[in-house]
Amino acid sequence: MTTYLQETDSKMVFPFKKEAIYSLPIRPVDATTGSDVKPQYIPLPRESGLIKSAWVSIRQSENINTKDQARDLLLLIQDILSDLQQYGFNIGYLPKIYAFNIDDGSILLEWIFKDYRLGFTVEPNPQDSGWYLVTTEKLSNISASGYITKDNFRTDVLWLLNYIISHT
Amino acid sequence: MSYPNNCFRGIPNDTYIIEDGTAASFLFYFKDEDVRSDGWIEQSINWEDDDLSIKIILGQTKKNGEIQFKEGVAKLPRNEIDRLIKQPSVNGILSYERQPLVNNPYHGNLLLQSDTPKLTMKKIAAGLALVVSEIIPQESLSSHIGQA
Repeated sequence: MTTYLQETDSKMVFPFKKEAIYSLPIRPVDATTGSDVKPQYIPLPRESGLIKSAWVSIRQSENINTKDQARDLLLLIQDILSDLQQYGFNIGYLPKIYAFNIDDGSILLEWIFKDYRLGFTVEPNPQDSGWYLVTTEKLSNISASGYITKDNFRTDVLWLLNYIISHT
Repeated sequence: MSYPNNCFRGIPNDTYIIEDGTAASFLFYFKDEDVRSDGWIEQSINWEDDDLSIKIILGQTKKNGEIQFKEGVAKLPRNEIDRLIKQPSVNGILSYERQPLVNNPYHGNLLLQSDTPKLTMKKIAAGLALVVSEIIPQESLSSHIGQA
């Protein structure tokens, strides 16, 4: 499992490949049982409000290729969010992810906020699949996009989720 | 050529509206089948020159007589479209025009260069959906008629 640390001021989340070593115990103690909470046994369920409706929409897609791609992407997002939750990062305030089956054969996964949108477009040709981040003038007029590549997939998604965490 | 402060984009059905009342990004997707011989892809809008513009677009019907925009219209401020056009990654590939029709003098188009990569098109569409200032439902047509 990847370890994550969060910077206090910017709230940016950074992955650590090695297990972090703490000089003081920081894991919460369950006062009732007298033992430590074991966060690795509390994953983010597929039925959680954050991703449930996206799962339902993806299952309704008729294109097997895009359905598989979208499923893998949502699994990755779920995995990262689950890790963050287990390490105590508060993600309960995040709105749900939407998934739309588009008539051009693609699937759009999108996080929609008042001043920005983060989208992942899953195309019938995987080489056309990518992400975008667009913001209003209030958040500096960002208009960014990139293609999804297997090598940097997890790093790119974490970087994008960082933007959501630090702006929500 | 002068343009008013806002334009309207018709919403065909409720799949284009998110449950909190915001516009879905794919409402503004440009389609290759709408490409013109001059290299632009059109996306129909109505310019809000006066109060009659919204009555015309809300009252628009298909060939079979059904209301075309069952969910109403999305209102887009022109200054926000201009802001998008000026972004370095967008400049030159997004534009707009007037294109009056016989039965609709307010008609116009959002325009996108036809060689724009698909991902860029979808990013621009999301940028347009983000700046929709208001969703005006189809039911409001009766109140607009009442104000005539």
